Amino acid sequence: MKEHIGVVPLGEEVPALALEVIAANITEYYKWPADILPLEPVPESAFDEVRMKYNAGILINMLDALDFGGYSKIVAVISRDMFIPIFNYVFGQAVQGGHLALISLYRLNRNADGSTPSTSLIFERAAKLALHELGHLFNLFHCNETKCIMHFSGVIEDLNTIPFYLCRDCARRLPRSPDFS
Amino acid sequence: MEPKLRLMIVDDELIVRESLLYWFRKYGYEIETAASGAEALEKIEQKPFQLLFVDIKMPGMDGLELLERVKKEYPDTLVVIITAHGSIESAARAMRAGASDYLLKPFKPDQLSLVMEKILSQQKIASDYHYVKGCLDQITRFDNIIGQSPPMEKLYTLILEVAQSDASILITGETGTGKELVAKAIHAKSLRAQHPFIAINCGALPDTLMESELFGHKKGAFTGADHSRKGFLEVVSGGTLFLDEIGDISAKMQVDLLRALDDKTIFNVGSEIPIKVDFRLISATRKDLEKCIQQGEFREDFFYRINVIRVHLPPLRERKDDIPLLVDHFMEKYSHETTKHVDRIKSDAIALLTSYDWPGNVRELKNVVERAVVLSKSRTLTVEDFSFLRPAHTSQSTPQTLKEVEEAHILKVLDEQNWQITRSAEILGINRVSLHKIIKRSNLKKRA
Repeated sequence: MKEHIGVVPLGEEVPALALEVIAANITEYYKWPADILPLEPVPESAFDEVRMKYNAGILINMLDALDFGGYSKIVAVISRDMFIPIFNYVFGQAVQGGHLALISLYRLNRNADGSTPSTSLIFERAAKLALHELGHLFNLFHCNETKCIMHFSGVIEDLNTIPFYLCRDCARRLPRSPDFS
Repeated sequence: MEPKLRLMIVDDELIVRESLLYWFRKYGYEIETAASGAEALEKIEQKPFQLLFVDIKMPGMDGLELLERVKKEYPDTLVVIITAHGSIESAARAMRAGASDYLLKPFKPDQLSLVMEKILSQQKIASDYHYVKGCLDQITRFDNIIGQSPPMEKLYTLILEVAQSDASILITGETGTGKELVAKAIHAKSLRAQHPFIAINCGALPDTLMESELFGHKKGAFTGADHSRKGFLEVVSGGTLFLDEIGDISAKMQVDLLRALDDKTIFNVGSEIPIKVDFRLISATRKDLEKCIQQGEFREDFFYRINVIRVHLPPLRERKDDIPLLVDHFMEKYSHETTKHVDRIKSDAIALLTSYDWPGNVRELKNVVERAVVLSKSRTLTVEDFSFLRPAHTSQSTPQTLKEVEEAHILKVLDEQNWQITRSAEILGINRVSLHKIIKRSNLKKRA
C-alpha cells in the first residue's frame, strides 16, 4: 500500500485549483505526500429527493467500493450539498480511524451574512476542512483547543477562525509520515 | 479533549443510531446504542451512563416513558430527547419530566454541539456537587471510622477527649468493631501524632518472640540473635504503642510491661543497661478482662494500669442506622478496587442487611459487601446477592443462662413490635401486667 494520501474529485465541477490547494496543504501541514487522483462521477443514487441533498453516508459507502490503487487514505471532494440523516447538512464526513473522508465545497462559498467570500478564502476553508477530516482518518478526535485544526466547526465562521495546524497535543498523536519513518 | 463521557443513543431507527454513533466517535466518547427503551434499561442496569439521547417515538416503551424510568431510578443520568418536527408538545412534556434538553430532527451540527456544551457544563456542576458531597461525607466519618448514629457520635466525642490526655487506654468491643481504627484515631488527634504509631497483635506472637519484639535484644542474647535489635517500645519513642488482644499475653509479659509503664525504662533481652522509653499505651481486647482476673488469668495490677480510660465500641447490631452508610462506603471502595460499576443497592437488600445481627460486626459487613460486589453481574446489588446470609443468625454474645435467654427473647420481641406492650405480650403469650413486671425486674430498655 502506498503511504500517500489520494485527493479525489467527485464530479466535473470541482475546481482543479481547490484540489491543488488541498493536496499542497496536506503535504505542508501533515508532511504526508498527497496526489490528485482521476475524477470520479457523482453517484446520483446518493441523492435524496426529499432533502434535495446528497447522503454523505451513502457516498462514503460507494467510495469504499472503488479501487484507489492502494492509497492509504482518500479525501474525496464534492461540490454538492451533503447531509446525514440526523443533521440538516454536513461540511465533511470521515470514518474515525478509517481510510475514507469526504468534504463538500457547497457551503464554503457563502458567508454567514449571505455575502460571497474571496476565492482565496473559499480555498482556505476547503483546505482546513480536508485537514480536519483527514485528522479523523488519523484517529484524532475533536479537540477543545480553539487553536487547533481538530476543533469542531459547526458554522462557516468557525472555519475562518481555526488555524491550519494541529495543537501540540493532537500533533503528538499524529502518526509519523512516511518521510520520517 | 473533552472529558470521557459514556453515552447511549436510544432510537429504533438504525440510520439515526449509526449517524450519531459516527458523529460522537469523533469526540472520543464511549458510546453505545439501543434499539428500544427496554434494551436501554438493560444496558443502564449493567453499567452507568452519564448521558442518553432518546428518540420520543419508539415502539413499545416510548421515549417519555424511558425518560421517566431513568429519572426515577438513575437520577444522575442526563437525558436529551430527540423528536421530529411537529411533536414539540411532547418535547415540552419531556422537559417537565426532567430531560436536560431536546433536539428537533434533523438538526444542524452546531445545535448538537451547543447541546453537548450545555450537558458538559451540567456535568461539571454535578461533579462539583459530588465533590462537595464527598467533603460533607467526611463529616460523617471520623478518621476513617464511619457512622453517624448516636453511639458513634458519643464515641467521636470520647476520642477527642481522651486523645488530649496521655493516660493508658483500654479499647473493648467485639471482634470486627474497629478497635485498631479507633486507636489510630486517638493517636492522630493526640500530641503524639507526629511520632510513630505501632500496632502489635499479641495473640499472633508467641511469648518469647513478643519479648524480643517489644524490648529488643542484645547480640548473642539467645540462639539466633546474631545481631542486636531495638524493640518496639524503643522504636515507638514519642509515639503510641497499640497492643491488640492484650488479654492473650502471658503473666510474665504482663509483669514486664507493667514495669516498663511504671518506670518508663526497659532493658533489652540479654542486657542490663536501662533504656529510657516514652510512649503511650493503647490496648484492646475482645475478652472480658474482669472475668479473666476473677479466674486468675489476668493480673489485676496490670489491668488497672492499662485501663485508666475505657473506650467501649458498640457492636454493629446496636448501631444499625449506620449500615446503609457503611454499605455505601464499602460498595464504593470495592467498585473502585475491582473496577466494576456497582453503585446501587435495592431497598429490600438494605432491609435484609439491617435485619441481620452481624456477629462479625463491621468486618463481616465489609467482607459481605466485597463478596457481593465481586460476584454481582449488574450495577445494582439485590437481595439475591446476599442470599448466603442467614437472617436468623445468633450473635456472639449469646446469653448463657435460662434467665438471660428469656430476657433476650422478650427484648427481641419488644424491639420487633416497637415496644408496643399489648402486641408484644400477645406474641409472648403473657398478659400486659406480667410483661411490665418483667421489664421492670430485668431493667429492659429500648435500644437506640
